[in-house]
Amino acid sequence: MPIKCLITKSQIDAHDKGARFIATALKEAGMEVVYTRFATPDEIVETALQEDVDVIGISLLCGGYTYTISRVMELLKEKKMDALLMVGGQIPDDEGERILEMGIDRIFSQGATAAEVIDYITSKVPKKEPAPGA
Amino acid sequence: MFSKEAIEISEELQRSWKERRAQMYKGFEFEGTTDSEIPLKTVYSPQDIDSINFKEIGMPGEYPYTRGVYPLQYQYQPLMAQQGFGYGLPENTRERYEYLRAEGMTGYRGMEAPYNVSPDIPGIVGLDPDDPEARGWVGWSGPSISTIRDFEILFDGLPLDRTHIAFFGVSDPSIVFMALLCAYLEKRGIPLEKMNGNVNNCFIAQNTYYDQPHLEGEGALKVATELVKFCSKRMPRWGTLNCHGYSIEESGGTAAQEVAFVISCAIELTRACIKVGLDPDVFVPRFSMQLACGRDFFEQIAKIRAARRIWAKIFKERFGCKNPKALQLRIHIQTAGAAMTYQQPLNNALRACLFTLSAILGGVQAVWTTTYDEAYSLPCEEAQILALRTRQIIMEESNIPNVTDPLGGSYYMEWLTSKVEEETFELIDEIERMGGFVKCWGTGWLKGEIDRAYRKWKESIEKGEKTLVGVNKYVIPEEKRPIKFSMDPKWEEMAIERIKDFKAKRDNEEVKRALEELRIVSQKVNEEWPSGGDLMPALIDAAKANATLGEMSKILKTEFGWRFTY
Repeated sequence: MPIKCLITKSQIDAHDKGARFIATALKEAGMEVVYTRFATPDEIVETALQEDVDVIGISLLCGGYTYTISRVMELLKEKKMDALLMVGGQIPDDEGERILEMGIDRIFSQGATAAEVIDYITSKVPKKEPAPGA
Repeated sequence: MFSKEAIEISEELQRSWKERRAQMYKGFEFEGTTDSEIPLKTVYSPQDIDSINFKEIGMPGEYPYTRGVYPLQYQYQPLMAQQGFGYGLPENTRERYEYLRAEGMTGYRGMEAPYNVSPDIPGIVGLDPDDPEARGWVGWSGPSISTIRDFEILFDGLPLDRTHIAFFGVSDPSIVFMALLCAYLEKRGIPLEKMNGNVNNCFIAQNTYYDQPHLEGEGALKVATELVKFCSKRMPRWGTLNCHGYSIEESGGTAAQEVAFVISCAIELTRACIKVGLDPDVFVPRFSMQLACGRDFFEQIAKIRAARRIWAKIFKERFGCKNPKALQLRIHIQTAGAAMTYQQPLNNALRACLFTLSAILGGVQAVWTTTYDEAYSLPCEEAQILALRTRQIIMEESNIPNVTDPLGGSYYMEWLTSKVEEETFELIDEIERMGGFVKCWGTGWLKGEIDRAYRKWKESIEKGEKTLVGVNKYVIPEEKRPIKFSMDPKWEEMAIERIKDFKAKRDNEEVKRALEELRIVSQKVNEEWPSGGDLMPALIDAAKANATLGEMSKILKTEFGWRFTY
């Protein structure tokens, strides 16, 4: 059973090529990818739950990271959902520690390669056995 | 272009060059391309440009304007320093404007410092700061401006009729920002007729670059046309289309894609304007282009020269324009932001210098030099000043601007200009065959083409086939890069409080009436196109009644359709 990832960006956050590039690369690496644009952070968690994903990757380029991340963390806790959490995009170094403290597992900022992202996911997400009857 | 004798001599010289080359570099082959994958020779000679008609190159200020749109260039009209600088609240932006003005952010001859307004992320999709979707993004990438009160903070006390004002990075809500500006100007008693400036008013960026929802193809075209219609009558000096090629380059598009897509967009808008009864000799002179200058130095210059030539030919031959101003393409360059790296940020200052130099050698009208901290934050003051100084050193110390189009006549430059022109025309014609710009945009074809070009480039960087200094070559372990600019979270709260207060204190009955009137007019304009009436006066009335950006935009979104491309 392939690893399932949600790659998502805000509807209004301007720019998307990084997120789309990573989504395509993960797909080509054999993962199942759900790509969405969210209006509010609540939709990220809603989709993640519905799709039962192993990984959530949020692309943030033009700000918005503090609110988006804190709201997502709050909801994940509330829904008791467990997933590997990654953010990518334009996240200042100075903010890195704070963001990791908020509960994000890994930040992929500019210069990160698709291979790094794939390696990270495969090292962190255990190989899944096929579900019974699947 | 050359005499038979000159070509014979050149061929003879080339023969001996070839022999010598074969002798010296036995078996060595060099295969260079431009960033857009145009294959290159290692040297160019007269025979490479012999087939070009000399008139195609011509003189500055003469059709087809390859060498520039005016007979004198920077010797008379300085390059406008059209920096982007806004952030946070309108007062933060105003403060930064005053600072840069004092440091020599100069405008056209006899004009005040230009004032670039690129609204924040919610603003460019027509959302007020108190909208739930705006949460977290208020004041990022530009100031939060959504009411006539915000315009007062931005502009009060400034001699606006001597200031070039530009709304940058705004696609669909261009018309709403213009309505707010017009309402503000009327309040201050400044005649609209006297205003200089421009607005993007193009439907490229939101779709191809920002990945934001946007007005439905035909709807976007109608709304853009309504703005041109209004300005043609009331704001004769205002630029009504500053077509956003920058977004195509930044998304990974090639030089030919960048120019072809913006010109195709202009063609589509021109057709729509003719349909509503406007004369292209009147409105096309107010069209311009915002292109990028990025990595490939010579290709960028060739692109600028080719863009001017193609524009002139299309509007002369395909639209029969007689007014020379309709054939003279004015270009604003924003130097590439996507080429700026997060690693070793000071390298970006050198990149920005090269990009700015290519814009100046291309002979453009205005430049926004991107700051070295582009890849990790909004510009800090130091970076802004360095960007300004870059332009000042090139323009005022180097003697480069003494001569117009100094690369004109270079075998390589003329060959490359013609090559970019040829590829661009092929793309423009392909788009025409497929039913025009709006159609190609709506089906996602356009975005798919750019995506493919980007993927190719990005993979070549990841594989190390192309060099990105500090990223895939000459990498050094780096300390944490301190950010010199940070957003105060208080600003978002203040913007939200402020608009709530604004909405509470205005005459809400009057707002309701004006918005209902706007809805009726919008519906009529849409359904009875092209003779359904005028959209802009209803928008200005609503703005005068203190309707907000979000309220007016919401009506346009509902009436004209609002969606993602795919």
